[in-house]
Amino acid sequence: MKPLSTPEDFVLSIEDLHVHFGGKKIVTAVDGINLKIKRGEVLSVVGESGSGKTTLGRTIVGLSRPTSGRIILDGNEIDSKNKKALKRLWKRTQMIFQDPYSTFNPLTSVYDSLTIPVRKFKLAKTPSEVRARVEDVLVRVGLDPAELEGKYPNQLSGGQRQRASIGRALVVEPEIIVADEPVSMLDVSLRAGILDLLKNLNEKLGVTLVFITHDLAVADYISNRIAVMYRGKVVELGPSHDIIDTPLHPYTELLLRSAPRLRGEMRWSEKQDLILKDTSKDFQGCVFYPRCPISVDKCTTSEPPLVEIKKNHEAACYVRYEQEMSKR
Amino acid sequence: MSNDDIVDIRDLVAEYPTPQGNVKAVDHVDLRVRRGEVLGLVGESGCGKTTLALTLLGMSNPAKITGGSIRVDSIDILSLRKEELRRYRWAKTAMIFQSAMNALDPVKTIESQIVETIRQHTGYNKDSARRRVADLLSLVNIDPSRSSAYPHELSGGMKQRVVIAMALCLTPDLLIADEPTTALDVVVQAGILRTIKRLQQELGLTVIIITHDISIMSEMSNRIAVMYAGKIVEIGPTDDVLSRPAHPYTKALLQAIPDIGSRQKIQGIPGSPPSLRSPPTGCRFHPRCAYAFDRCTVESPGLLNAGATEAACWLVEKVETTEHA
Amino acid sequence: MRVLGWFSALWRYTKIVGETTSGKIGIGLTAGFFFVAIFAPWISPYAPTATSGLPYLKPSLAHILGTDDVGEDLFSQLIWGTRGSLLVGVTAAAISVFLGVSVGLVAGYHGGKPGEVLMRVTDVVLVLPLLPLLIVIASIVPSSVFVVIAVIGILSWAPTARVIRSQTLSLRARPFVDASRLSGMNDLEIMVKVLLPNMLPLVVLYGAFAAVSAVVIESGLDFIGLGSISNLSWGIMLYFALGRDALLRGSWWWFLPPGLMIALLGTGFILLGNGMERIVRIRS
Repeated sequence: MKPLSTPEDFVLSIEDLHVHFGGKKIVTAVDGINLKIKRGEVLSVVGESGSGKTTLGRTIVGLSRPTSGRIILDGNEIDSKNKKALKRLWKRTQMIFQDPYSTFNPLTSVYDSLTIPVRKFKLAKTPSEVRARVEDVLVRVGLDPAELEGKYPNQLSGGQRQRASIGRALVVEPEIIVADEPVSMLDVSLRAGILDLLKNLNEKLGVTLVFITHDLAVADYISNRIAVMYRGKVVELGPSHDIIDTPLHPYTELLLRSAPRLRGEMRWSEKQDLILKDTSKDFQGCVFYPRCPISVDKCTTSEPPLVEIKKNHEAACYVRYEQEMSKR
Repeated sequence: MSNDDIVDIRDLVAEYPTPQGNVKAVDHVDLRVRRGEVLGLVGESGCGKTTLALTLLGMSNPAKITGGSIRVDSIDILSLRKEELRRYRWAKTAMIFQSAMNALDPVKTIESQIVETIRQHTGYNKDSARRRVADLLSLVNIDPSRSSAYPHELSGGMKQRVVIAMALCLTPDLLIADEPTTALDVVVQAGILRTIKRLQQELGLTVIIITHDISIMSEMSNRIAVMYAGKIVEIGPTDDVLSRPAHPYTKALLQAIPDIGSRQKIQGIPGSPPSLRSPPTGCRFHPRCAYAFDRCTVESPGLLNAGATEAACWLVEKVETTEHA
Repeated sequence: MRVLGWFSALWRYTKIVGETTSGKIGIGLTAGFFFVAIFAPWISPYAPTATSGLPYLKPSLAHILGTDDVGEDLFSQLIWGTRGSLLVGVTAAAISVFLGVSVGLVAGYHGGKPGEVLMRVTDVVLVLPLLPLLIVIASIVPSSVFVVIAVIGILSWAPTARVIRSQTLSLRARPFVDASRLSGMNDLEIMVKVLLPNMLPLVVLYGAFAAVSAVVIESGLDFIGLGSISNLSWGIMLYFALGRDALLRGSWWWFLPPGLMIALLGTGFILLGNGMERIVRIRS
């Protein structure tokens, strides 16, 4: 991927973010995340279900409210309680949803769904300006405005709907787009088109892309950096190729071993995913300890911090940290 | 029918009636599955793979079988009467349905559900059925002491194992798994696939795995059959289909998937899957095919010998004739 | 422009409802009654309170349903009674639906503490006994149509609220609602322009049921003498029929038609509602 111009220019800074849900039974979705997202990069957030990746994405765009911690967009803290502030936020961050079949209001024409944000954010003055802007965006996402005229969502294919939803996000010219599994519900043959479209938009328009996915192969294909999440925490963070070729955290290794490959063996034995070490309720150690094949005593005492182990490559693992330090 | 083939499907046609005319979900399909092999049936949505698999159980509703024959272990499925079908199902051929793990009865323990399945098909009494349940659960790597759990107490992976145990409770010869890992996380998926593979080896099962994800086949299947618009367009040994595909659709499909670590550019397939109500003339894939020529728009090819694999593509003959020339 | 959207949605739904026989009957009956109510002055052969014939006349060509005890044409009364019954039914239903939808939408969309509070209030209203309460109120307050309409409306919105809330919760989970927020729509706009139209069949369904129930209750109140005589309705006709010896005299042409009309109107609404239910099922 092409190198970024100013590596220390962060468009978004997430500080000690915690997001809890629920009244009687508290569900911790995001459990202490510190993350800085560079302007213009494509960052993939990879994790399985329950990792908190979707909640993280929703919190970035203000759809979920942090329980504690801050999110700072371009130097300004996001205030998710203030409705006016949220409206201003949505001019700058937008989201693409996973299910193309329920991402549009079935009673509104696709075209109208795209004009709504233009009007609401007062991005154009006259109806013809509004029209021009929407048509421009439709072309950009590979759709023919004439063909879309008067059509309702159920008259478009899944791939077209997803493109239109990218258009809807793009029409306000946001700085950041959070894409939540945008291709996982599409047929395989359609995915490349959408992925390339997103890559293209990132490269041509400089839109920062936060790409949420469970698929490491897709993450590797599209992103500059990958953040691996497990149970609400980021356990590894670094350049995509480094994460894939030389993973540091045992969970990342587990993901890589389990992922199907077109050529080559799945190196995972059947019984290994059933390793489960018992821990008491007030266990304070590493969140991956119960499933970890390389754990040591230290892992039960406290949570390992996410630290740089190799150049620009961070992982939250005591064992790997020690191993790397002893090499030097 | 060779003794080695447990499944012998000839010229099968299955049609859905729609207000606008009949839709051929399965369009003149020939398929032979060898005893003990694992066959991957791969295709995108609407290609007919699930309908094809359902016919092996004598269940294709609402599609009707309007042509061809289906033989499973020499049994002519289409001629079976209701009672015979009932005895055939689960005892000879069993199926893991898509999203079956979500269809487990939430108010019954998993033990009682498996017991119910067993007793519906056999004369087992409750105690022997319960013992069988314990055996089955161990077989799929679930601690038998968990048999009194309810589905909602189990993880997705465990629920899928329960479904597999239910499918195996009458020791069938043929197991059909329809998208067995689609709703599961990648780590759990690996475990389930490995379990299926082990069971296949231990029990001598013949397995047909239906999926849209061709990459899981590289480790699972002996052969892969690729379906498109109701037809099998390519079939052959797994390695050959994955590394030396002859059919343009297979090639395009493989190029559309990012493979970890390979860093190759991926490419989608232009156009969209054809309307099965009014499919294209000739080869179904020709409107989207980069190599289509005039014969492709007129005649629909059958499976032709392409060396390592068989492919339904006129290019195969074209190459041969130029080679012989 | 937005109003057009509502009408086109309603038109589409009407067409779907009209696809089934029962739907056609429902639409026909309801439309028919509305037509009669609106055009009563032109359809009715006589003024309902005008002495147009001799008392207690049997049905004849001049008086299709005969006359009452003071010589007023019963057929005209029946026609004009459509207005009275429909007025109460539709208005009370409208109040009930409005309250129910508002409570349900807000409770479902906002959730949390306000939602909980609203639902508890709903629960209380749900268990209030409507008819006994109405009888008590009607006997205290001087008889007036408006009181009756208001009380029916205020006491019958609870079931609607519960259903609308649950429907709101389920719709709220769909991405297009979040997408609407991201598009800059405020909460009120989302509730009214996004959620409500997607629940329209359900609202009409419950509106239909509310209307039936209102008409029947109102007729019942009239019948036991707690209604307002000034608002001529079928219930009032029945009240007079009983009071002026129609039963004793066996003048079935007096007491049967109003009851029949109540039943038919109820049937029309219910069939309409059932048709709407089809739409709800198809879409969900």
